[in-house]
Amino acid sequence: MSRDPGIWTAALLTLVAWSYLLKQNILFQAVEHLFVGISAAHAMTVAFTNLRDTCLRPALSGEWTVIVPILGGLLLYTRFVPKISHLSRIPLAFTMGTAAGVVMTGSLGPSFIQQVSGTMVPLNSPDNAILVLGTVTTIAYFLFGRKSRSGVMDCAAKVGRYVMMASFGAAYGNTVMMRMSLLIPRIRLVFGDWLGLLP
Amino acid sequence: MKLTLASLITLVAGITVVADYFVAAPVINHAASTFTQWSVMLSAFSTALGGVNLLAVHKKRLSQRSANWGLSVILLASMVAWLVIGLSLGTESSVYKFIWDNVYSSLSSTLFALNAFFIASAAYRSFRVKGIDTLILLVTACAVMLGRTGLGEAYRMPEIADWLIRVPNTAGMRGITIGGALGAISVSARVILGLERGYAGERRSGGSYQ
Amino acid sequence: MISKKLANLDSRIVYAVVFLSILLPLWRPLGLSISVSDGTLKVHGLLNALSQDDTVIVSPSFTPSTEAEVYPQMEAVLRHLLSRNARIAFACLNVESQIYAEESMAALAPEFGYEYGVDYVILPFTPGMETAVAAISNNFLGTYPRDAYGTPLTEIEAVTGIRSVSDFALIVDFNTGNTAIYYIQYANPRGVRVVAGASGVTVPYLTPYLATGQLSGLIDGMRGAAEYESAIGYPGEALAAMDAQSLSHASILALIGLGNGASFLSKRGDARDAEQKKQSYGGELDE
Repeated sequence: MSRDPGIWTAALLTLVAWSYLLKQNILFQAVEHLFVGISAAHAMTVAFTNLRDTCLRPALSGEWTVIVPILGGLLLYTRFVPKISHLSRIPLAFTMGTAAGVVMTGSLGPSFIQQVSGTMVPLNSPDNAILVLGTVTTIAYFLFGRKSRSGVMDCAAKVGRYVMMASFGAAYGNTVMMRMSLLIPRIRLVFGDWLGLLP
Repeated sequence: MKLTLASLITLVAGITVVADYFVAAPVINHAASTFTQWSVMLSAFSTALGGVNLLAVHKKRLSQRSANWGLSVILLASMVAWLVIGLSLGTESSVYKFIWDNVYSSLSSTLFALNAFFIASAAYRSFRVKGIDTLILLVTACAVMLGRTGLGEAYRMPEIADWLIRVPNTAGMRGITIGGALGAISVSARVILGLERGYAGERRSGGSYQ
Repeated sequence: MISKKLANLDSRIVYAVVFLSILLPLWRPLGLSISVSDGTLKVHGLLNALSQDDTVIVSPSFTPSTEAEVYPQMEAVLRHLLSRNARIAFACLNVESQIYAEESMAALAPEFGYEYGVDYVILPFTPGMETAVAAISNNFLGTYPRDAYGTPLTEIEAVTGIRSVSDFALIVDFNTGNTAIYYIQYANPRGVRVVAGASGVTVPYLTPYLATGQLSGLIDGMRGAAEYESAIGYPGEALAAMDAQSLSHASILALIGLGNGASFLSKRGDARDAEQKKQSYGGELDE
């Protein structure tokens, strides 16, 4: 059995988390809140350190352009002061505008045009045929998912549904792989590192 | 008036970034680059804002002695303690590393790993063949699962799983990607043009929350 | 009767089956071998083609919740990169990224004689995800005037000659979300190749980009990590976990089969009962 306090801490917390599988209990809830607390604290620590290094220090060394985002960032916190809380909309509006512009330009070329052109392949192999037919019918499902008046489009939407089922099936298989991958090290920690029962 | 100002700011920021994509004018390119960098800095303020908000919510729960207020004590105590350690000793300190490795990282992966049990239970109870749709779903899922193991090697399952991911999955996901991209472009256009102002507190009916 | 019992099986029995399917192979390994997939081979080939002057962006964009799956991928790829003497710039898009960069290099740098600042650099946390990747791609030096420890980037040898994102030979993103797609959307159009190591859940969403060549290679989950370890000839955590992975998948397959079998038998039993009831009521009515 391990004598490392770190391993003991990790193993005991793991056991408490697993206790949820038997029944919801107060210890599990306590551990859950502990996790949320330290997770938020870590995000805040990194964010504050980041603000110190990328905003405050440059501002103190004379880089005046960073004053604008600093003021904007401080305005975000006015939401806690009811009288002037509307001011928090200014940086939010700016962030939303920039993000919308970024998303628009990012989606247009690589996720729309290039994906459409990537579907325009010669139908000289079964793979290409499935790829083209599958993509077109999936889009048809989205556009004509509700009953259309055209029998052809209904049929295309139906095939699209089958293609999506194949996609989701593959995604499910990979999801199982992911979940099991996460569990393996936890079992190894408890039975191997902590109890010393594994080779 | 307040909403109009917000819309105007969104419009200017959004149009500048979009224009940067189409126009090779140094003024616009420089402005767009500056705007994205300011936006990144503002995101750091928002990250911290999330934590401050959490503090405020649990402080309120504590002061009102709401149900399970003891759990709020645990959350606040752990949060404040780790924040103090992080800001005073730094994230490279041994105390911080100890908590990171044995509490934060450990709990995070254990809590997420609980899903392995739930996915197994769901697979047993709900993954039933009820028609051609579910049959396709089940066959592809089982093939991919088997292909991701050493057990399927003898039956060329990894190749079959790779094909399923590479061809039918790509076809379906590409359709979804194209649809998603169209959706993202149209929503972005609505935000830039001020037709979508929920972020600024606008109600659906057109009124404002504040 | 048995079919009814099976259909209403206690969840805890299902949990125990999964638990044992992982524990047993960890206790008594089966030694199953695995083949290396095309996606993994592509990443391996691209890294093999790197020269000593090349600088690569490595982006640990995962969180502790999925560390078990993606960290072994990053460890194997870094081992390969370090053996190629490539210079590395770690881009940190998550609040956890910097710790992963530090942790991995603390383990590998001494073995390969890598020195901070000379051979690799850790860039500061850049919040904003999509906007952050757009900012890095638009103006690399503007986004990163300093490294994570406050040293001006112009004084760091590892990134000498780097002016923009196009000056990097490759971007390797390890993710559990959409960060690889962001690199494809904003950095790839500027002429830099992107490869990804992704969690199993994310992989299906990345394949459309792999098919168009916007993504040059893809490592798929823990199996991908094990394949990469096998490709570089350095068996690590992922390969050791593959037996447990295999048996756990087998247990899920068995549970799906059993669930469907029980459901089928239970429905057939119900139909038979209903038929019998109908017949007996019919008889009473006749009388």
